[in-house]
Amino acid sequence: MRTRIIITEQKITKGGEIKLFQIRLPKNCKRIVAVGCDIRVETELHYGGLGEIEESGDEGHVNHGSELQWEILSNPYAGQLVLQSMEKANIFFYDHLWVLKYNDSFGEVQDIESFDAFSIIKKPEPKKVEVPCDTTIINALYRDSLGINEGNVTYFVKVLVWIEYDENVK
Amino acid sequence: MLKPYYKEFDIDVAASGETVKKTFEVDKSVKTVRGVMLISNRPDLVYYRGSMRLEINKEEIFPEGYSASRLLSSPNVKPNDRIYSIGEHAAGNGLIKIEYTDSADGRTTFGAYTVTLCVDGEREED
Repeated sequence: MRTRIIITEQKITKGGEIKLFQIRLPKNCKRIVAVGCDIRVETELHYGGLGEIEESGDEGHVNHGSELQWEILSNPYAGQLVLQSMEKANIFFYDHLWVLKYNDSFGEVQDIESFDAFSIIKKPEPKKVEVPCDTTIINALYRDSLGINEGNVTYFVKVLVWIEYDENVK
Repeated sequence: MLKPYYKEFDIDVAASGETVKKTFEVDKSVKTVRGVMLISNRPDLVYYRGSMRLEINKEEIFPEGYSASRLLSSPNVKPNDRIYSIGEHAAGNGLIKIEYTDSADGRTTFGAYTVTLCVDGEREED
């Protein structure tokens, strides 16, 4: 048995969009062992991106006078992803997806006040599942939330499925 | 007895949206490739914009579109945990093919950068 990754990408363009799609697995697939998701944004984000926060009075700011002033950043939320097998496992994956996760780590050592999404505190690992596959189709549903707040944002949802397959079967 | 092997290969990305295809060769004494990792002088661009395809000894390890952010490890990650393990993969002909794609992302501004593929494996004793 060997492992390979199947990647499916869907483009989201409208706020609140609900995308139904299918992920096709190879015929020699025996089971699904892990699932991961990535988001890639094409248009600029107005809030929660890498730019400055829009100031709205004192909301989100804690001012301690001469002490450190902390700014509160919200992790921009992208949407929900659901994966369904055609067999007994039924819905085997349900997760909320985030465009960025600032609070996954602290900034690099030289700049303790900065919070960067790519200051990764640990290797990103896929979510482990155990789904046998007799049929080769997975139903997927993605519900957008990012576009509801941001207006129409164009971004891509990438679904990665790790499968175990029998290399003796072509 | 096998000894540890480690080598770095550079990939220069000069233009936005560019796909860079490169083939590297590990030393002849290398028997297995155990893990890979990406580092860069601009890890933020790799994180948000990078995707790749990796092939070792004619076998696909990561398909086209695999997010490069999944192979990044910052100094916050423990040193022994930074390499992404791919199991004991035979080096075979020693050829490593990588296709690195830079894609536009609304969260970043492009600037030429270098991505470095780090390969960890085992080699024959001298």
